[in-house]
Amino acid sequence: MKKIWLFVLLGGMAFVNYIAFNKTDAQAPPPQSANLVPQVSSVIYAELAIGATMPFADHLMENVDGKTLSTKGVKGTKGTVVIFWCNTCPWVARYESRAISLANQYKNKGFGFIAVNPNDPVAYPEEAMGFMKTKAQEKQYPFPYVADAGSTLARAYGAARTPHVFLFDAADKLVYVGGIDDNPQKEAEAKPYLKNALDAVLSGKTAPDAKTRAFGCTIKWQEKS
Amino acid sequence: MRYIIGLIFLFSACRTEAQPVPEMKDYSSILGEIKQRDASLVVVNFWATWCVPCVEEFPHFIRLKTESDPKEVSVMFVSVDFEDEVPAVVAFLKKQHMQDRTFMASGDANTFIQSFHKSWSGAVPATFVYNRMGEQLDFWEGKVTYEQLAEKINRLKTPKTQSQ
Repeated sequence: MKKIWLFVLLGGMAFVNYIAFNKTDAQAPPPQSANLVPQVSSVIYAELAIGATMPFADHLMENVDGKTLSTKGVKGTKGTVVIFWCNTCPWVARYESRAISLANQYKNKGFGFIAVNPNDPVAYPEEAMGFMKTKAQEKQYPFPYVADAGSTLARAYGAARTPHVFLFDAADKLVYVGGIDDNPQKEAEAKPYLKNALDAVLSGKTAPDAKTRAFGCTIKWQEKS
Repeated sequence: MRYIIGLIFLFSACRTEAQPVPEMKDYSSILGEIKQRDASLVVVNFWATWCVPCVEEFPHFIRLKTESDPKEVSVMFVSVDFEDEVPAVVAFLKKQHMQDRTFMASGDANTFIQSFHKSWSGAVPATFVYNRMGEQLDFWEGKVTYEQLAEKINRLKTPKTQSQ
């Protein structure tokens, strides 16, 4: 009698396994109506266009040294590099030494550099000024690192992620926007978009890839101030 | 008795599937995957293990997947983690009980990102919704709550008519 129940149990389990692994084909429903309208439902501020003038150039932001600073305040004779940056994004971490290296190289060639943190320090306490100061000090940032209160500058620029780079020429016109390079993992294999753009400005040429995209962390938007 | 238990374990073992390894995909191969899914809507969520909002919203997409008729809504995850982070990706997916085939972005990021949408900045999380023909219906950057996700999907399930 017990043996029969054993076979029933095993048979039942086998049956259940069979059903789980075999999906029956159903007839495909008819294609959707062509009236469906593609849409972009997120809030995206339009990225500053190539050739546009540096917006909010006089806008003062708190620097890690306790003073206030604007992007105009770091303007170089050849141009200005504004990088949207933050404390916690691993993409920023991967690019930190490259950004520092480029700043060290090109500051001497007439470019001003500034890192701007647009993230909400209330919802994300790790983005607060205290941690910005620690980071700048530990890594010996050769550029100012300012807090963009109300994410004002980020909105004006149409910055959308960190890191997000904007290079302006001596006339404050945008000549390059995008990533630092195209390979966060392997610097040796990376196409150095920003470096190429900086060299182009120095030789009076147009940046070869003026507008690029890169992965990064979303900006943690603050309420408009 | 031992014989019976042994057989039960054997049957249980047959049902266990190994955690899938993420497949490297570029834009055109992801689009190919989308078209192969037999679903009215295909939701493609871009995420990364290090991205806090991505990790926070991940369970909402799992819930969407489990609560939806697979013929209506198919959910696909594409990680933008670095290749040296595959073990972290696999461990995270296992914790989320996500055993479907899963993908990782490959190739030049600049081209990849722009292929999906000209307005996509490359920030994650980002989600794209396609119809069965691979036509993009919606796209958003940033984290969503389950309610926001369900509302977006429900709106897309109901086609707008010309008269509206």
